[in-house]
Amino acid sequence: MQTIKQLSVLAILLGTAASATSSLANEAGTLRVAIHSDIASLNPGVNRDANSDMVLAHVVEGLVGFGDDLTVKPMLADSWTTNDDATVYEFKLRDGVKFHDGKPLTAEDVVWNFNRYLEPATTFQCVGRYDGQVGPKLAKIEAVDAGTVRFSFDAPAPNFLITLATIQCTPWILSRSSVDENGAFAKPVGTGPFAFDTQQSGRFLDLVRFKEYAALPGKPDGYVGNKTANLERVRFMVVPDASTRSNGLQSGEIDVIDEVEPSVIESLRTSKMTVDIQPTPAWMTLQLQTTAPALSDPKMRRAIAHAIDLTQLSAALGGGLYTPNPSVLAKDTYYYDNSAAAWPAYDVELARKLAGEAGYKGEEISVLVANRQNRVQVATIIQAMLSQAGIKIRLDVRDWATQLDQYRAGKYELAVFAYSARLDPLLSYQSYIGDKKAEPTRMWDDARATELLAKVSTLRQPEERKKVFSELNAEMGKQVPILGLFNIPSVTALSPGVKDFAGWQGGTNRFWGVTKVAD
Amino acid sequence: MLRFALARLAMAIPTLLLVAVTVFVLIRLIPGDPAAMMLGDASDAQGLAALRERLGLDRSIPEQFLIWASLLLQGDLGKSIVSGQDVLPTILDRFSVSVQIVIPAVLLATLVAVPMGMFAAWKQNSLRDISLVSCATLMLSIPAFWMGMLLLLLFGLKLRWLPVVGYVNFSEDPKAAFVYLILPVATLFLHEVGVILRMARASTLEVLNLEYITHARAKGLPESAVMWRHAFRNAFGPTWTLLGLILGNLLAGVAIIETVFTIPGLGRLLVDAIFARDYPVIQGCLLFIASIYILVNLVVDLLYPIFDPRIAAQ
Repeated sequence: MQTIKQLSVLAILLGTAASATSSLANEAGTLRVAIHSDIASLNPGVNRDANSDMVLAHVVEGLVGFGDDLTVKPMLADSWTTNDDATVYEFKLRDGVKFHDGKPLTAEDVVWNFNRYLEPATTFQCVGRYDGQVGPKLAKIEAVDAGTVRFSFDAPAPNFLITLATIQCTPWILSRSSVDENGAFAKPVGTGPFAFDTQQSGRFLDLVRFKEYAALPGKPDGYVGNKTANLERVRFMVVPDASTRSNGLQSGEIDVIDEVEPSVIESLRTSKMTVDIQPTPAWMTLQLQTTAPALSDPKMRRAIAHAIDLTQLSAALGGGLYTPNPSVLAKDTYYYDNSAAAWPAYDVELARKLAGEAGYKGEEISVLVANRQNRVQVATIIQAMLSQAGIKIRLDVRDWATQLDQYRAGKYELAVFAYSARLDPLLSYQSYIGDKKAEPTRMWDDARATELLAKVSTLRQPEERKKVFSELNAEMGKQVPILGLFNIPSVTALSPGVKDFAGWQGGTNRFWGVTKVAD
Repeated sequence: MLRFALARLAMAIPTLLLVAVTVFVLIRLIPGDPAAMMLGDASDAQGLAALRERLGLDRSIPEQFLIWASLLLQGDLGKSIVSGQDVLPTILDRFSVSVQIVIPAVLLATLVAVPMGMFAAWKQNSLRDISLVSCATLMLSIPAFWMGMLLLLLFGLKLRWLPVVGYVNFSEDPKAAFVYLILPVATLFLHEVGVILRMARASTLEVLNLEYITHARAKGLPESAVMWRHAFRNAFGPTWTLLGLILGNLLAGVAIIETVFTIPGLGRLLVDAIFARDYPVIQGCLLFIASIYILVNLVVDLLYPIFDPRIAAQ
């Protein structure tokens, strides 16, 4: 009898718990998005990572942005003109655009933003792309009138629009109320479809719909187009554990999870979750340190490339998710021109021969890799493949901070390293080509490559750029300073109630245009 | 008593000083650069140098230590490199979350495990003793994260009785906060109950074999009086010491449980800070944890005479 009483009490308690849980799980109009780690900062371009880029893209906007087809299109700018040698750009701003603080967007605001980004105290990560370190120097920014901004460069800047649109480096346009009276960043006040609401460290960050958002006509298109918000609130919840994210999605407590592992895709689909798989130019690579004695001979680097079967590697990682690609130029993009063919094909015997010609005598070569499950898996498969060609590999598994430190110092032989998606090949090649002494992160320190990079940096027409990119690709395939393994897709799982979500090549999830209905 | 407490607190000062210096130096000896972590793969050497300068990482280690130590003497643990937030309020905020899991779990585990351990000792080698000891061994053998995942799968995903993800503060919604804490507290409770039960059983067995217990029984006292009046106070001493260690250990953060249950506690703060090489947060957390250890064990020592008057006499 007493046992029955105790069980009844337990049932009542758990019943109460269940009702409380379901009331928490059904917050109407709120999309709950799981993110892996806390948003460290929303100061644009200063302390950023993929998470902060994603959140900020809902709050702030740039003058231009990439569309779904990876061409640059207007966002806060209505139109632009440039002079013949691309040293002067004039942007007409859209009418009727308001910041979240109610103030209208003016040319003076754009000037204030660029001056702030160029100010060394701001520590804008991409200041080098504007102050002459990489490409021409932005010499002057001026408001021609209330709705027109002029940018003047000290040399032709044909790729200025691409630089402006780069996700990792966009000079987002903020309201001046984003900084305090001392000029220190306080919070992002932008013109985007959602406004920043609140953040609780370690728990969540909330955005709310901006009711006065000035939407462009048409459909959502990359980071531009119609960005009308249909949701009242987007909550980015910090959920560090992958299995908890997956469980939370299936229990109805989370609506969106990303970076879904291949091994759980089928079980999520069985549970009626939607899984969106979107190819992106994000690139998993094997870095080959050309200054390392063991790898200074291009023959040895080609031997390594010949010994790795990219198709088998991608298949082994799971689910047909990964697209093998040795080239910087991603498949299904305008600039891809059978680019993989220019790279060493899988041929173990040739690998052995080339290694012998390079004077390789069985010395151990290290592969630096971060202690993340999928990367160690990649390194292990590479180790096995290279051993088939008689090349001895030792895995050097470190935490991500250590790998990044060694990457920055150039202190490694081989390394498994993932590059975030660059939406134009120029941005990628700029990251890889350069003087290793000045910038140890550069992979390819070569006069011909530098010359071709300088050449393509002056070109504007896509067909002309494509030719030079193909030349760069062919040359890179001969020298193998870095070997692409595969392009990394963006894999997002959504609860059945989430509608109208679409991934895109930028890889960062967008929640404008998304609706949520009761499950 | 007061002199003893003050002496112990004074002894803690060199310990904390040693912790401060050791942590400061060691964390800088391991590879990794917080500025590089913040920049990821999208910046260059000049950008890195500018950020290092802004964060003060370009200064020498002794110089950095002097700045940190002078702030510390003013009760300021500095600011997080990553988030820019003050370290001390962040730590206190996260600690208050960890406390909400640890204290109820340890309290419940003590209330359940101590009587059970004593009962098992009283019924030594019986079926009930063997069953209890086996259960306790099983509980402490199961890793806490795995136990947590099993509970999540059963009560969260299958039965849908309890939430799988999140944390709610008591100040926001006490009912929801209670619901969200059930599974993490249960996980920790199940793990610790095994440890405490085994200790309570072992120390009770030792006491039950002493002559004064035989004497009490010979006097004709009922078994309940023998156990609670005579055996309990002596048997609880070692368990009390163990509780101090467990509390100190758990209050320092239960990072894995906090990760599995998405709880923003002190353990997760420390682990995230280590991965991000957020030096001020790591230093602050470890110094705080050392202080907690010292304080908890001081309280345990001060309360010990309640259970064992011989300690006070000494």
